Amino acid sequence: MSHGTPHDHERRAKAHRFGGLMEGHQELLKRLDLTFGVTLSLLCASAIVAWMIGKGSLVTVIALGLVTLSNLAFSQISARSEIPIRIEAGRLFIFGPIASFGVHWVIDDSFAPFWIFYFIYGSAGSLMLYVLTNRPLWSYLQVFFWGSLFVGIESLRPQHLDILQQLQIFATILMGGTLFTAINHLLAQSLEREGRVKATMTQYAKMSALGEMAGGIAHEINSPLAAIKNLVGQLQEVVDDDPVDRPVLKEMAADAEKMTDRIARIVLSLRSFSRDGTKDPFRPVNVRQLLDETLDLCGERLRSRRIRLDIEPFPASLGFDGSATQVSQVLLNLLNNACDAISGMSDPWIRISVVASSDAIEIRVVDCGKGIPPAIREKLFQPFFTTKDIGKGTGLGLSISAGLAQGHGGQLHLDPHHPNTCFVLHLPRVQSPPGTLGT
Amino acid sequence: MPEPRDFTILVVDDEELLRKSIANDLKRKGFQVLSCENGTRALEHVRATRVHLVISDIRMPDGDGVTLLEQIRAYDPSIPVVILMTGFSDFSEEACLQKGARAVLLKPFDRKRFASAVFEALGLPDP
Repeated sequence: MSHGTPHDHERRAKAHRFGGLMEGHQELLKRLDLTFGVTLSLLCASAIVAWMIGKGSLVTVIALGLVTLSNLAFSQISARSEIPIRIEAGRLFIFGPIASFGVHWVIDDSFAPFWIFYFIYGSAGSLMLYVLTNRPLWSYLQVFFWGSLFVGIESLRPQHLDILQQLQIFATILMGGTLFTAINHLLAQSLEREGRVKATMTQYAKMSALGEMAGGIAHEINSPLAAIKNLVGQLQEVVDDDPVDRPVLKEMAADAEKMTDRIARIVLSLRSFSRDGTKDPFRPVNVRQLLDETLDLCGERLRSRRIRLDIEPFPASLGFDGSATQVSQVLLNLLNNACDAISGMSDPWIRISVVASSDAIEIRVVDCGKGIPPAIREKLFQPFFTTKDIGKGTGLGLSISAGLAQGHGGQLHLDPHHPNTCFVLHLPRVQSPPGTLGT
Repeated sequence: MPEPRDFTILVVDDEELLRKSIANDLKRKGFQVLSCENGTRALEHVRATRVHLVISDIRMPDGDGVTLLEQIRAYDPSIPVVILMTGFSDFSEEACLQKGARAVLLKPFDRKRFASAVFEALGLPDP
């Protein structure tokens, strides 16, 4: 299965890491957009009043009305569809000068609180540059460039502004730009900090899940190890036999090799699972291999509790773009939870099914429990909520798993209509290109 | 003087190759060996055949070695049971001994120690 070149995957991975920052900026843009819309509406109203009392012209009203309505239309379109954040930033950038110049050329200066426009324009410019470049310095520098440009254009007017008014324009652009650059910088830092905390918590929850399985894994390794030790001991005796039974020797060596391979596979699964996967680029992941590696780690835990595990058949080549470590953590968490919930029931079972459509896969983990009571359902995905005994659960597993699913552009939820306890992991098969919402 | 060939040992472990290697090892020492992968089959063997020693893993798909130990002791307390464990199960070594296990060996066990435990459980002189 191919989902694009390695370069595409790198780009997607970069977009994935930048996703949090984009979301933060999206929020800032929304606020800026609202401020911009309200200001335009107020100016439009003031132009109407000016025209009615004979101090303004109808052209002003029409021009401002058109600008206000166009901005409103764009704002509504972008709110209803997934407009890339760069286009959103660009829109404010374009409407800034239209509104500013419109006010300056058409309305009498006494009715034009132009500094508001320049302030917002400075802000929008700095925000856009920050979003595009992620570099605060460029964002700071642009306010000087735009400030100079605006003052230069203003000086071309027949009745140009005096030096004080020019300085006022420059200062307002500087103020808006600097303020928003500072806000952006703080936002980026805060998101980075939040990301670090989230990564630490994810690793902590993973290690906790691993701890729960330690006994099973030790058993899985020790049994083949015991077989190898026993076989090697016998081999030392068999080689001294006269005559040497070569077929027996070969069989023993082959058995020892099989056991070594099994231990190696478990250790490999352990290594894949325990490493920090928070910065992993998204790559094509084979679902069958992912399930096998996950079950290498928790299979013994299920067997030791006499839990029957059924995996419904699905195509061996089925895959998706993502982080195998992260999705394995989600599955392991679901299996561990199911194991804890149904231990002690008569004839306990867990069933895994994988359903694929052209653009998504759905992994369902169903256990023989009778579902989750409605009162608990709402709290299931909250951090630190657990129904397990003290010391047996961190209460982070499901909240972190849901976060990991969201990081893939997917979702983890409980199917409330299923007669048994059924968690559904929904993942897109191909990740969205970078720079779009929800990346 | 009883010989190893006079004794039948039942090896119970869900790990096929470990079961096979233990069985081969015991056969090389002259014992009659039966083997199976779970507790249910083990009980069937014990009821159907004269088994002199049971060597059982602590974890099996259909139950644990301690339950099998209790069931065997309830059926015939004279059959000694040697438990193999990894040290990560719900039962401790002491708990197994208290329940009546003749010996408890931690995987991966030493072959000489294993042989000593088997011979001692059957009342044979140490090989």
